[in-house]
Amino acid sequence: MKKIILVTLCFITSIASAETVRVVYKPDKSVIVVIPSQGGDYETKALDCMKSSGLEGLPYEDMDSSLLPQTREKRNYWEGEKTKPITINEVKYQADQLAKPKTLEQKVSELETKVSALEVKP
Amino acid sequence: MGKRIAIILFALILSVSAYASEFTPVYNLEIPSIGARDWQPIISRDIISIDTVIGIISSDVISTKASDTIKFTILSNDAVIQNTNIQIISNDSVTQNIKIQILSNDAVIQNNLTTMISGDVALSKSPTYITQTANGQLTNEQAIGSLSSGIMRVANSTGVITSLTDILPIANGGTASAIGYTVVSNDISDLKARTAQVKGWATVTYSTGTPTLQDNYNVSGITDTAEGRITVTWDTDFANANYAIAGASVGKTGDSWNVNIDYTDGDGGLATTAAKIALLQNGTTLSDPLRFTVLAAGDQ
Repeated sequence: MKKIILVTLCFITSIASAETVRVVYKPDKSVIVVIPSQGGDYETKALDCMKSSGLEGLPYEDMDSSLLPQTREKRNYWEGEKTKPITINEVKYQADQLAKPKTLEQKVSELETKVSALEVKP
Repeated sequence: MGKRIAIILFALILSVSAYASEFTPVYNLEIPSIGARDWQPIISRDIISIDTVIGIISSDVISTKASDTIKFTILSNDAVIQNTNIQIISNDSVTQNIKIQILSNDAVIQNNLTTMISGDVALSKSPTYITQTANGQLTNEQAIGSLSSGIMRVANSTGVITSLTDILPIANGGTASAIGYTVVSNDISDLKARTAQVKGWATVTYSTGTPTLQDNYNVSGITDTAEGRITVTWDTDFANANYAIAGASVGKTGDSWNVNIDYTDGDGGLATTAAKIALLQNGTTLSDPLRFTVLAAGDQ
């Protein structure tokens, strides 16, 4: 019951904080999100942001921010095209994760796993 | 016969005497030399005979009103002499007012010749004007008698303007003054000092998939280009890309989060229209903090 209330509260909060943003689609399918400031003319501000970021002429859609992924974890893997929902390129994400240089903690963890496996052997 | 001759002679004498009684004597006015001009006395009481030469000859206010206006005559073509010779002779302030005339076609001389002679403020106000004699300098300024209309007085004093009668210190090199929240000054260094303030700032938070522009000044919007990379677009652009920018952040997990100018595109990061920001976790990895703030100051 508590979980239901918590989820409901989170949902209501996310709706309350939702705002209209401009999603710009780049030719490589990556996605840029323009968030105009409050007040004044939305279109003027959105175009000003697009111009300053060199996004003029690219296809875009105005949509509610709640339609975008709700975490930043895989922000660099957001992909989209006009009239299609934003997706996350999991294949690219996994490939990048494997290609990442391992941290010291990760290396220690892997060695500990290997040692544990050796100790189990008779 | 003798009687006829006597009658004819008598009639002739009468007609001659009658003709003589209508004869107007002519008074010649001798125009003096320049040196003696100022003390030349009036030698005739006959206005008609001398009015085109001297001007006002009667001290009778009534008599001067009707005709003296047109009797001012400038005797010299020398503009300087014209200037010094124009005088008001009547004690009647109404007459004084309407008798001031510009005699020269030279605009500069006209300007200098207009002089207020009446001590009556009501009379002196209407013909006085404000003239710009040089850049930032006005002459003939005057106070407005009524607050309801007219031109505000302009002078070289300083002060705070609270009503129409107070002095507007913008002319003649006056220093800064305040009208409400607006600073009025024509002192360039003073204006520069007063405008060298923060011209734009933004506070951005990351709590969902889309960054939130929590508050700002002079920001059109933010552009989320990637993780740890965001562009802040200024509403009013800067005059050049040499403006100063600073930032601070609230990181995650105790790591430090640097707010840098994003130089990775090779375009310098700062443009007059926008600032590209790179958010670096521990100074190395592009990543989103919980919150960051940037502020910029410079010429616009």
